[in-house]
Amino acid sequence: MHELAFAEEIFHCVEREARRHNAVKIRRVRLQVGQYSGVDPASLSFCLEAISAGTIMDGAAIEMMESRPEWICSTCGGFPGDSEALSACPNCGGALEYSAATDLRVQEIELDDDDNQT
Amino acid sequence: MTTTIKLEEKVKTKGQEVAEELKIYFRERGIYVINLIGSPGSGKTSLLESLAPDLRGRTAVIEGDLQTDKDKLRIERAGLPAYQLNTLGACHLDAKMIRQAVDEFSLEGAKILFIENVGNLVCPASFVIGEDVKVAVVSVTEGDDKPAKYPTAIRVSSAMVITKMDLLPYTDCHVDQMEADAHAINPQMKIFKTSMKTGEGMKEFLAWIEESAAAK
Repeated sequence: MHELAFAEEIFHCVEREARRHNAVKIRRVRLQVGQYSGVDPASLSFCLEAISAGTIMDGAAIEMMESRPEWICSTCGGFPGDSEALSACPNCGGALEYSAATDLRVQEIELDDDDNQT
Repeated sequence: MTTTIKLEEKVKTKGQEVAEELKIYFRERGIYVINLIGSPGSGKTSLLESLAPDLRGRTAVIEGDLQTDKDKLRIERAGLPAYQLNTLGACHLDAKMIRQAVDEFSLEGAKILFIENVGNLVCPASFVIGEDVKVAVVSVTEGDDKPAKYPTAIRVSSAMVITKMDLLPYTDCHVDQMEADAHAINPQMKIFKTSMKTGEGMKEFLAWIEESAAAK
């Protein structure tokens, strides 16, 4: 029931990036939705569609990836997988942190910029 | 030209930002905040009434309900200062409501603040309102399947208070099942089996509150 509040913040984030890159159109927004973020993906989609109507984000494809609780390397951001037994990242030796999958993140945005201005 | 912008930006609602401000506000004043969640009629207000004699003089209560100041009056009669929030239909308290409450309600001398959320085992679980911990209140009369059926409330709560233990012989509730289900979802969860009528389990729950508040 707080999906609208999240949708508004996602929209602000996308709009800010659009301005920064002189975008004329947002093609795709990729979100990472934590399994325990309390966000319902269907409801979030609905809210995003509703508030994007008539804006630069109108018609953008919304991709949602669910993230699960896991160990993540704090240095390289890698996913060493099932690594409770590991004390350091096998890729770079960085410290491992437990991610409880409570976050909602904007991972990436694909946009068309205005070639005349850049 | 089409460009892909990598962000990895955490999205925070205004409510989450206000909750973080509230956490700082409470920390600066040394107030330990407990967000009490549970179904309507699970015994949240009765639990506070039972704790009142032991917590008087250092505890304040913010009450959340759709309508009326009935709970505020009950808490005041029990001897604790109370402030009533009416959500006028909303199913949970949010951080902005708590900020409004602390603007108007003096927390002078309070070391512990209880926020009794709107009676609802679903929505309040998804909102942080500046609390240190959530405590879920579940009564034996609701049935032993409630922790399993409402896992979010169990996952986000540090403790579960099972109430109305005096009524257990009249129900088909298996408290062992309730505990096992809760621990499967949240292995660290503290569980207190209580009755406001007999006082069962209240000494233990009070001790846990004192210990947690002192550790802040």
